[in-house]
Amino acid sequence: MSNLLAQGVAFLDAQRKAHMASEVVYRRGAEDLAIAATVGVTRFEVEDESGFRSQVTARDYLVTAADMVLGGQAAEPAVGDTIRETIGSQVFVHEVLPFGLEPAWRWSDPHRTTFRIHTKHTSTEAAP
Amino acid sequence: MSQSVLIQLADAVKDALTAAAITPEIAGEGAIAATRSYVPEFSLPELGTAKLTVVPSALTAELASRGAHEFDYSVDIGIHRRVADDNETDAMVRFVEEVLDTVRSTAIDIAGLRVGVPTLVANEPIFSPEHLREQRTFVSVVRATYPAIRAVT
Repeated sequence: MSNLLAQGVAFLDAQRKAHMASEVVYRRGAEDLAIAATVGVTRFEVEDESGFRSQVTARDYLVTAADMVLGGQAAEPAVGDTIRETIGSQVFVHEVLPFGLEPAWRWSDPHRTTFRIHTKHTSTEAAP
Repeated sequence: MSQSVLIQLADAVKDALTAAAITPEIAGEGAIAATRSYVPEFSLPELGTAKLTVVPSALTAELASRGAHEFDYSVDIGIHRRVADDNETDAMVRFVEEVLDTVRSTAIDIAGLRVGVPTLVANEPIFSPEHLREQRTFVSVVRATYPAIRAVT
């Protein structure tokens, strides 16, 4: 018996990718993967350690799991990977990192269709 | 305007750390110039190179005799850097030890007051596990406390 909810999630993910996503580059080591991603949420935080403050821009990306193919194989996000998002003349580099007590990514839906990847802005480069 | 003793002390510690030219053993990293700040604040993109920041942090005075107070002046030294892996974290732990060694072995003299070497240098905890896990940033704070005797009046 088909699962209507799973079909609905797959439909919504296709709509998200078609209408609410832009291309980013997912980088692991020397391998780049152009992939459609939706910016989930952006947070600005200031963390304090003994009076020394760190400014952190955290950004979540939603990515279709089936699109994550690295080295010819299905892959899951990993700490240290980067997502490179070009906006105008700049490339914003976001590193995949845990968020609070959560790991660096989690499923965004109960049917394991979409990754929610937690990142933090670590550098900005000039677009090529 | 005359400078406060604590600010002169913080500046002297900053100068001693800069003069020591300590360098984390990480490829591409040079000697680190220390800075003094009241509210040190860094964004992750700024931490590709190590930061060494001296902050005036505490001052206590206790009556030592009928005519003198014993003062404790404390400065915090913040050490920050993004790290790629455990090898770079090891290098930063070593760097913190070198900062600590420099501070504990450098006698400080400021105008009209011989302060000497610190009576207490503390680095607890050695690093922040939360920053290392969530930002891959090495954050460590060394507190150095210097004694000085000053007349009551």
